[in-house]
Amino acid sequence: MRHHALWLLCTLGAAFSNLSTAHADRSFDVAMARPTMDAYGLQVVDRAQTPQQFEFGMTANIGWARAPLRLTLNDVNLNRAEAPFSVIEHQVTLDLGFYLGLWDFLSLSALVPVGVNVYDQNAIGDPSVTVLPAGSATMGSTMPTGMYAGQPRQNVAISNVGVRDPRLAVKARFYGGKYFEIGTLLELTVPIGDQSSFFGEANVTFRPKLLLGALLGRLHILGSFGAVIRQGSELYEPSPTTAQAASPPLRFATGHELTWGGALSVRLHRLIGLGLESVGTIPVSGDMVSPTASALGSLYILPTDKLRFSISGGGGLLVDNPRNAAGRVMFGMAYSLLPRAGGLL
Amino acid sequence: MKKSLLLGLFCLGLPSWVLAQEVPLPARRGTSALDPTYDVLLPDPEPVEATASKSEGDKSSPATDIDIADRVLSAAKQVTTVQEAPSIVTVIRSDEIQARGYRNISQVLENIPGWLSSSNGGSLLAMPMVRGTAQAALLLRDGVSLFEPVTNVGTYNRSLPLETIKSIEVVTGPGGVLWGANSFLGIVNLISKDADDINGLEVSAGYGDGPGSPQDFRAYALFGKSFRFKKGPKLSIVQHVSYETYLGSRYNVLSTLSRNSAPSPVGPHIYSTFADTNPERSFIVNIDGKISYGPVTLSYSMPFALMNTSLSFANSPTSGRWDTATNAPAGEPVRNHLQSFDRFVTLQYKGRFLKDRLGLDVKSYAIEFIRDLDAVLLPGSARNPSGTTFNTEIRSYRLGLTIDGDATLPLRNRLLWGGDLFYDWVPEPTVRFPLSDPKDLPISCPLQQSGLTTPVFQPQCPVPFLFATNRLVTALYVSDTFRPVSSLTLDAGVRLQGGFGKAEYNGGNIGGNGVLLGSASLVWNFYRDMHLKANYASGFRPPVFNNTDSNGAAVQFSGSHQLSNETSQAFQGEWNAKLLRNIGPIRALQLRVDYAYTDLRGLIVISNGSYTNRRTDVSSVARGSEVNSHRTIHSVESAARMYVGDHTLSANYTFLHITTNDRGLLRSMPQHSFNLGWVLSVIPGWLDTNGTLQVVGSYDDPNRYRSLSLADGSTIANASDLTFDKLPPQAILNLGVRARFFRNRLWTSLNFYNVLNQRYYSPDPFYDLAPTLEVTPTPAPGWSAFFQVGGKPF
Repeated sequence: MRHHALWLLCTLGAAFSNLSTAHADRSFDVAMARPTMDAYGLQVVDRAQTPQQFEFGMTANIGWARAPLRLTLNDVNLNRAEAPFSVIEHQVTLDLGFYLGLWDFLSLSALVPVGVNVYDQNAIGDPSVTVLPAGSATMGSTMPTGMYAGQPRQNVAISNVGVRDPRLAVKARFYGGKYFEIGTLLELTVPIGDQSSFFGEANVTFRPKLLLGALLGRLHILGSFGAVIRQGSELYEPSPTTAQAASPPLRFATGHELTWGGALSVRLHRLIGLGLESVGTIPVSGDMVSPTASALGSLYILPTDKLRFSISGGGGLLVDNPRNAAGRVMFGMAYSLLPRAGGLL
Repeated sequence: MKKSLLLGLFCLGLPSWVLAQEVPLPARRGTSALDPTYDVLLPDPEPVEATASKSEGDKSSPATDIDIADRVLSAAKQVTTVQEAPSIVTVIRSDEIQARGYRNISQVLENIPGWLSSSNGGSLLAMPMVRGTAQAALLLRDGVSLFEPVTNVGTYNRSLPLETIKSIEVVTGPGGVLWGANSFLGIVNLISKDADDINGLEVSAGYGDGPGSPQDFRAYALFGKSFRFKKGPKLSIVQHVSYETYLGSRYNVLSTLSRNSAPSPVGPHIYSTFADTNPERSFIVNIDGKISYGPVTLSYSMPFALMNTSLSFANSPTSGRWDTATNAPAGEPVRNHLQSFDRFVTLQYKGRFLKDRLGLDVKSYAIEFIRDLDAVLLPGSARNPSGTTFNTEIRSYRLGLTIDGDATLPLRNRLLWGGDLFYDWVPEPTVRFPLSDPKDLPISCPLQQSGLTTPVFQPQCPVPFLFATNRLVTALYVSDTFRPVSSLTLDAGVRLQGGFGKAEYNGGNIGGNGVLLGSASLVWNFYRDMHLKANYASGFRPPVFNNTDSNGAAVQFSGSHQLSNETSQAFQGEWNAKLLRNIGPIRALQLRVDYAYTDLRGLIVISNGSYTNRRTDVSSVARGSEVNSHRTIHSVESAARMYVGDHTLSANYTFLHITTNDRGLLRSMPQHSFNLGWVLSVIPGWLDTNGTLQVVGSYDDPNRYRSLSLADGSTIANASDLTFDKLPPQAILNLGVRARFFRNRLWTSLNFYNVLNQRYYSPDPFYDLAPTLEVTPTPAPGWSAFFQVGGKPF
């Protein structure tokens, strides 16, 4: 109804609708700059420091990303020639987290993320488009387009709002000295997220990380190295040409990945700190997979020892790849009822 | 939620030096609420000021308010705690209702593990579900059943003024022995505030807007005062008046052009275009109160309302009359409602005798149930400009008497006993079609005059909606609580209930119209503040008058007097604990995990155009499953609540797995759902923020899809165009802020509901695989906001 030009062209493709693939898998979480699991981490880079025993804290983060999922797809408006699409034009995320220190060296944390996606409707399509009767025919038909093509008929369109996969984590600090710290974060995501709307993974993912930190007074240098172990997801061309119909091309996939992160933070004043953070992934399995890298500059405001606000801005470093948002802004809040000496930075 | 579970499991294994840091609990063994010396029938034993003072920063004994919040006053017909009650009980108190910004009872219920909100008939009626089953809970006000006997439509809507409620006690699972019929899978007991709870005048006014609840104004005044005379008992007066006016939620949905409505056989469903809803403005006036003089209390509620909603049956929009000149809806507001409110008067006597060893609670009541229906069948369209509507006034009545007693017996026994005697009846309501020519209607309309060659029908086609009927119910119950040792409580009870009259009970296990129910439970305080519960509970739901006496020749499915009672039984286990008492900033962590196996039999379904206990369609017969409908439910319900400093955080998780003997796995219910809730004190006693994140997993909804189109753009969903719509997970986020001034004498709040504006859909409780009534997903409201100012001038 809303995209008449597209639908008229779609009628030409009606005859090919049965050629579409059922592989328009949408089980990808494309929020690649994920907030840290507790108040001791920076915006997106976790720190080895753990909360002290029975320290309870909360985090809240709001993020905005421009074009966090860009893919090359066939454009039905251009006779199914390949064209770049920002499948998700904008994404807003909200992450609410809680953590509790069990011992001085071990903590539990949970984070519930939700998201709002603004899609490119030309890429997404519509579950039911009316094709009016042609010529002397008394009856026309309806047909699905875009991501809905070739799938069981639905009345429900892709959701603009959805829950993403909740994150559960255990953090352990192996060593925490005056100048150096080392720890690990073992994170699990639960596949409750909306897999049909680019909000959730296909299954449970396991994301272990090794966390390192060099503490040079007001200057902290942090690093993390880890992996994402997941069931792969594959998105095939939803609108293949006649020649591609027998074997639609794979447009995007995810598999196991290595993860990295690095950060530099400096506390300029009791109330203010600055930081540079960067995170990324390197794929190790699957076809049509690609690395990601994001960089953020952060301003931390610490009105009290218990409270930290942060504002970060940046974007993807590999902008031609999927999942590298062109621009990103994040607002964070971290609160601890019983913080360690020195506060939350 | 997972975190909470992990916490719970982990804390079980904490070393003894950690547990040794816990402070002793105020309520120790021997002074338990289950102790036989406890006063059962007295009102709330805790002064309200105790709770209030805690919220203002008095931390001299910080555990007290937590323990008060756990107290169960009447859901178990005895004073106990949620940890020790013989059933699965959740208590929501008035301070939590206010702090969390709840505006109606459905919002309260959906934050309880095992409960979900839903709606049916478009948005005509709110339909909360317990363990994935609709119309399965018994709604009580101060212990008086408000079960509506014609349609079993409860008043889970705005007509219940939450500011008058002291606490809501919710039992998850059957409660038939204590509460009788219709406590099928749950009990929702609303306990109203006493004069001492209010002690002055409270006033408030607010306004809200947003597509979820447009142009909403609400104001109330609540007065409560006790007067003590030199001689004679105390006189207490509570009076409440509220007024609300609002528009129904805004939707843009497919407009129905033509369909085969009940009880017609399944046929094509034809749609025109998408249309905006435009319901007529609604209002609700509540006048209620109670007067107590010594042991006698007179309570009354006299609401008046016009409660229009936006969507009607088959999700038809209230788009109104079609203007053929502009070829668009004329824009006139449309009346579309299923009124759901109750008027009642109750007279209660409460007393204790024999040095408090014997208690007596007698209630007599008269109730009028208003369920007037005035709804859109087909919105106006180019082919049917006026549209098709129908209306009927469904008024039913109840007169009754309930007696509850308790007696303290030797050998650490306490006996609860009592009975019910009430009479329900409904006069014959007539359905009319004000906008339709009777000769165009697909039903047999009465003739104006017989003997004419061309039939002349009576205007508006008045036909009976259902036939007048009645039922007399009598019941007796007895339940004993035995504490052989202080850490162990055993509980067992039986109830005998009979239904007589035109709509008498059928299929009962005592003489056909008599029902014998039993229950048993064990509660073991096995370690410090940890309890284990094992519980067997049963219940039943007799067919409502609309099942037994509906007029199948009009717009209804055929009723039948052969219908049997639906029965429920559940085997339930619970582990609950209070951990981390006063450790660091943590005041307490409460955990609860329940598992229940629930078995429902003889569920009334629609088959071949009539109500029946067994599905007799072709597929059922072919599979040899032509037996009474049978549903089994495996459920895990867990809850965690943490009090940290002045903050409160809660999390709930529910797992649900339902199978039916005739439909297999019930795919239209989410298997996973969880809630996070918080009240964070920004400035203690002055400013707090609150929030709720409700996450409901994905589920399927059997519907039809539109497969054909016509030249005018209308589309057709044939009876064979079936699909399972994959309904996405829901993330409903509510946020609010509240400020209080002058020691709580003045407050203001601003709450946002469904902040992310998720356009989600309601679960389909009836799981109709050949959809007739609901053929598209039922949309839920978008975002809304409400600003409120209140005060207590004296």
